[in-house]
Amino acid sequence: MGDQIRAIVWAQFRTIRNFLPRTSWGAMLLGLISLVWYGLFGFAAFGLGKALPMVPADQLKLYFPAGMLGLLLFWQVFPVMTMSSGWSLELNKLLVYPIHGRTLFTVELILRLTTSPESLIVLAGGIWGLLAHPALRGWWPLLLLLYIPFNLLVSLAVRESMLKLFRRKRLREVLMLLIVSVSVLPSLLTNTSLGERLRPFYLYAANGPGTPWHEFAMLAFGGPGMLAAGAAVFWLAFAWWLARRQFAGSLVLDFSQGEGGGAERPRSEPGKPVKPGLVELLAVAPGRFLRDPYAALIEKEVSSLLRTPRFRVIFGMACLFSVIIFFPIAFGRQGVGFLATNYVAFVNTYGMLIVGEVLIWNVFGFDRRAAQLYFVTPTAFKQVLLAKNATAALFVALQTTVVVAASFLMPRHADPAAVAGGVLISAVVFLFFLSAGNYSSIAFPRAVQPNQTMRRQAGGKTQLILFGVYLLMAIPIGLAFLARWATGEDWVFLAALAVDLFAAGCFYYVSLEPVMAKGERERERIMDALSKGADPIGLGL
Amino acid sequence: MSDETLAGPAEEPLVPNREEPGSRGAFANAAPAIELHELRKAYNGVYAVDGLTISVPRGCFFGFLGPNGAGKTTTIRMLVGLAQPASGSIRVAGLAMPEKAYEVRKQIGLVPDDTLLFDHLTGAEYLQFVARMYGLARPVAKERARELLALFELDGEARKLVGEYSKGMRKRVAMAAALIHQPKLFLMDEPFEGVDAVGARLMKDILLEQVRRGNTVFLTSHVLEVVERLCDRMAIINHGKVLVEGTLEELRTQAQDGSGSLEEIFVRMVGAKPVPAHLEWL
Repeated sequence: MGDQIRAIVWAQFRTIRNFLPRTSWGAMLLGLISLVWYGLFGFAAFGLGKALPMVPADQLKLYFPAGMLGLLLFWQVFPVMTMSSGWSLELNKLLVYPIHGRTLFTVELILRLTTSPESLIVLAGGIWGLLAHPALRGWWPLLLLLYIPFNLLVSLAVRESMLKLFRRKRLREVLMLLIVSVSVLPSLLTNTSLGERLRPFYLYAANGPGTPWHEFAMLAFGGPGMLAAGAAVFWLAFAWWLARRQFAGSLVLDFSQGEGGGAERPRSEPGKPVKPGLVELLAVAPGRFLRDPYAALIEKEVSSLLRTPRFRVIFGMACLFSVIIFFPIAFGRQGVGFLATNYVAFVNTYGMLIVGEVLIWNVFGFDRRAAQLYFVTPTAFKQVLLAKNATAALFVALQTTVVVAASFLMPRHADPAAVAGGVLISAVVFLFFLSAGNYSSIAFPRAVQPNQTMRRQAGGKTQLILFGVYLLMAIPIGLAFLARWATGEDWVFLAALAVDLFAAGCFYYVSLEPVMAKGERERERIMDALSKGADPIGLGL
Repeated sequence: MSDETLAGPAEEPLVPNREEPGSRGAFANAAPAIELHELRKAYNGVYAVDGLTISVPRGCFFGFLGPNGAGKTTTIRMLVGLAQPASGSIRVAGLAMPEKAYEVRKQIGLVPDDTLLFDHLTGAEYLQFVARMYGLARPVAKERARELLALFELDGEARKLVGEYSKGMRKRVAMAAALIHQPKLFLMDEPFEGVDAVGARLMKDILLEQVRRGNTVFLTSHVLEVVERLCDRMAIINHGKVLVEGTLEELRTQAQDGSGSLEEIFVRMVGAKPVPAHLEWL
């Protein structure tokens, strides 16, 4: 068992080492961002360690279990909300080897540590604070370390359950809506009076006897009674049983499904024409106004994207998540604010960031096999790229329609000038994104597995380019806001944005030619880059 | 690479003198290498494998043939436990799958379809990883990986990643990985696809030597001439069902094709489709 675990870890280490030198700048940038991010949590943990000893003992007993409940929710729910479940084994590749299920379970459990390192940092701060508390004696707070295996086991069970649900057709879309609904809760709680009203209930739940967060906290306070010790053991055993049960289900999962290995139900009788479905109707619509090859290319893009569950989920998120998440922020207790006034622009930009990896800054990565075809058919690279850009424009236009419709359903601030301004800003942002995206798609193409990955971040270099684009487009957009502030006139603002749109269009047009030349020149490298992407451990499934 | 592990590729005849499968050495009275009984597997309500019953004796070079979508890859995936049968039974070397999956996998050398390789490892790293998965000690894994890379002429570009390999190179490294732990049963899904003539000859010689030693090869291939020359027994399946099974002679009898080649038998059994008259532009 130990040898196999070491071999898997060794292979993963070699994989990362083989991969990193090719993206050293990107890796450095990601490292820097991670340092800042985890540094913030480290700072919070440090604050917790310093503050906890000053909390009176009775207050500590009331509020510490609440913190423990919050930590558990963060540990379990946050990765689900962000669709980020850390590193995990590529079971479809490892199951062909003689590895015991318990070995895979152990590795998978250890990998759960990557799901939420923030929680570990905060927990360490809590333990340090309790150890330094004058009212608590001995090393009892160290028993809080048992909260780590408990959370890892729960995390594993949650992940396996989510993956099973996400594999079911249609259910994954419903699930996505549920996740979206849950994710709006923190905003609702902090921006409306709901949080204050729910606080007593939360405290009541946090101090419920027998609950894991309460009993683990009681253990840490020292002198554990039989109830606390028994409950902690029970919860650990229960979490272990649950995780084992869910993981065992994954070991017998059918990895050949959907890989072309089996027969498919015929859609019609042989010889009879297939009745077009909604996807087909949507896909052929833009092609009616264009000539081939553009019409054919866009039709292919739209239909293949709409048939990919992962794209449906992220596009649904772009339309709904962005609307819902900004709703309480924009229209909460603060009332009219900058965010509320520029709601459409913010929401649309956020939506573009969600679909960006597929539609804008890695356009060949999602359907990488099709890229091969583009290079062998007598289709100019320019035509392919323009068709992909047109497809992105189509989906962003659909998303904008949803956002604008939603803004009119919120009648308080949906004045037409604000909406028009929002749409213009979105168009400017989109053109800048496209310009940068065309370059990054060709310079840093990366394979994305639509059936394995629920969410994948843009690469480090792409993020660096995006950062540059944010700065670049902030200038013209900022100038438009400045013009409105100086004149107090909406029409000046809109006129300035129209000029920005023209400038963004020019930027897009000028950037197109060198990018296309690079694409033609470096097609071999692009194909090479798109053909990679299989590790023993999936990073960020 | 020691002579005990692999055959030398050079002057051996392509098809050596072989005994009747299932009749040799220590395995003569042992359970068949593979027994599939009434095996079924459905996707979306359609059977990919539909009541498949096959017995592959030990020491046999078995060709598993069928048109695209016939259920060959699904069967191999069920044999290694990547897919679960809806009904029926699988026994490998007398061990039931998936109950004895761990023991079964230890005996299998798999040349999979293209998706099961690790693209970000070099060839040597991949082979060492696979060897260690099968419990080989690190020095042995390293030494065998080096020898196999040299044998399959993959040692020229030591730093090249598997993801950067050509299709033929990927098949060769998969073949090397299948051999590294000296398995008793080889499951090969299109092993010669994309491999050049020299590489294919080497692979065939190695597999024949393995069979001569009493090991079993279960091979899928669309290159029927190769199957005809290599395999002792073969089965042709379509829509997940066995159409004919046996030696080439038995297949000819079953297909009522007295002296036809395997290709002719295959086409006759699976059903050839003539080009329709209205497609005269073709």
